[in-house]
Amino acid sequence: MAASLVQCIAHARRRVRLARQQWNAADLKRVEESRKLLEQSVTALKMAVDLLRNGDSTMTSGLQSAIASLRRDISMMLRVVDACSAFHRGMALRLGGALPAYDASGKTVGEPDILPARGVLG
Amino acid sequence: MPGINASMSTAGNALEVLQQALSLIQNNIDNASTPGYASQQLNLEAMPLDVGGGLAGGVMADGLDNSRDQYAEEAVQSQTQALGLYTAQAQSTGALQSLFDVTGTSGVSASLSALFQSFSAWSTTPDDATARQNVLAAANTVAQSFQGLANSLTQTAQQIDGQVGSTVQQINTIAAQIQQYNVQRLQSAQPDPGQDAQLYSALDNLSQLTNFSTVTQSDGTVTVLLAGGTPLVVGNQQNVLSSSVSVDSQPTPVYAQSLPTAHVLDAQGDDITSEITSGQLGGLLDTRNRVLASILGDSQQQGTLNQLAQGMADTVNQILTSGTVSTAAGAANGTALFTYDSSNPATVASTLALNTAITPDQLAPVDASGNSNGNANTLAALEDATGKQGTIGGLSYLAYFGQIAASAGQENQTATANQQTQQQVTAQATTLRDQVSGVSLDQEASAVLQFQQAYQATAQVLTVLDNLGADLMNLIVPT
Repeated sequence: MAASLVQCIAHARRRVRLARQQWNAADLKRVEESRKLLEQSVTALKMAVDLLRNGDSTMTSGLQSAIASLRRDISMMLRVVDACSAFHRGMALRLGGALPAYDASGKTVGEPDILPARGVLG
Repeated sequence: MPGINASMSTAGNALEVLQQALSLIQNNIDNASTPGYASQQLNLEAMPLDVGGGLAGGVMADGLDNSRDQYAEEAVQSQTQALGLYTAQAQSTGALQSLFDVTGTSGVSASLSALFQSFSAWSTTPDDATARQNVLAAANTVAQSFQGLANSLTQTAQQIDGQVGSTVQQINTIAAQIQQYNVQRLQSAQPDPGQDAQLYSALDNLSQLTNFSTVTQSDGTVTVLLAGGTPLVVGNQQNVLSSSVSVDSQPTPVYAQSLPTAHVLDAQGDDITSEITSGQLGGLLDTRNRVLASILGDSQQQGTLNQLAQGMADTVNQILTSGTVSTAAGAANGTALFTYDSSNPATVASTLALNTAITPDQLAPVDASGNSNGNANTLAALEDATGKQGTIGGLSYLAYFGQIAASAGQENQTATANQQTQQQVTAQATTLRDQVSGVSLDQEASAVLQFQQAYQATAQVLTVLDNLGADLMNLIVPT
């Protein structure tokens, strides 16, 4: 049983690492592929949980460190995805909020809606 | 005739605009690899068409726009600052970590073990001259180990001080480039794409070194502010930074003679160290003023290494001086084994020494109750002490030193992991910046939605994974 557990966790970790390598925030296809790899990792971990719940839970400390490493990898991947998500949240706010784009000098390219037209300013 | 003239004029305008557009395309191609360059596009404006009134329509050029997106630029700069922080932390704590022997076969750890073993051997033959001599030799090695480690740590601190100084100089050099950009910008009505590229390249370089924000003024100049609001560049003015090493005067120093800490000062000499929290400079200051200070001490703390050196020396000395050199009536009291500069608690490790006045026969194995090897036994037991005597924070001296070494290792491990993650985050931010540059906002709005949904789906799977990982950990019974 221990071998299966170890295999499940190792498989899950490999998938997470592969997903991280695969991840390209600017390429929707790669993002999807990355997500699929993570789903495979979920399947492997669910299997590991089932094995543990159905069997003897007095396992080795090696297993603990393997899970800790897996969790570190998950945490790293989460930070990468979070950062990309934050970038797009900012972009969405900027676009949805009609915030201005900038030209080379940092001046706004288009006038925000809330400002009066040039003619009004005279 | 007016119609023909108007047509010829329109054709002439169109040719001129076409020429400008071609030059622009050529310029974009030429600068494809120029750091900081954002591709330019020519804005075209339709001319009024009124054939009867002699207005032939056509097209004219109406200024340049570039594809730079300020938000995306700042997002990359922010991630680059974090990468600079973690990289500097990883490198500097790596140097620190290497000074601690985690195997326990050399340095302070090994010498302390050897001292306790010498006490143990002495306890079995308290009157044996060789055993006494071995205690003195082992104590001398302990003192040298503490001194050696303290000196190595101090040298590392000085190396970091040098790096802080050179990083501040690099910041000043980049700030001067930005100031020059502002001077040129004030002299020209329109921004120059080449200068603009240089500016953004300079800002990218600056973000590796420190945290800052930029504000573009109405005159086109760029104001660069450090995180706390201290201006680095305002218009044609540069605030030249400097670094110094001194003992903090505020709050009132508890340890006035401690190892000085590193500071960054503005042009007026005001301390702005606390404003530098990211970038390479932030990482160096963190290792220098937080991690190293916790071990070697500063104006407010003694430092864990000094605490250990003093705790160990005081305990050993107190035991020895409370006993006598033999069981004979009127036997002399014992002599202290260690000395250190007691006027500077934050320098104990670097001043710890074997008492030069002690001779082997002045060691006191007899305790206050008259047990012939009572003191020697008590000293030997310090190796695994768990009570009040011989411990710091409930840890034996050896365990306490292990904790100091482990904390240095942990700092390095955390910084290295953060650096690895941040490398990928920064690379992704750069990719995203490149993606949004040059794309129309309408196109971008739909893409943003798609990407947000894809990220959200990925984050949800990751959350499930994280929870499963936690479940697994809880299910395992540690052995």
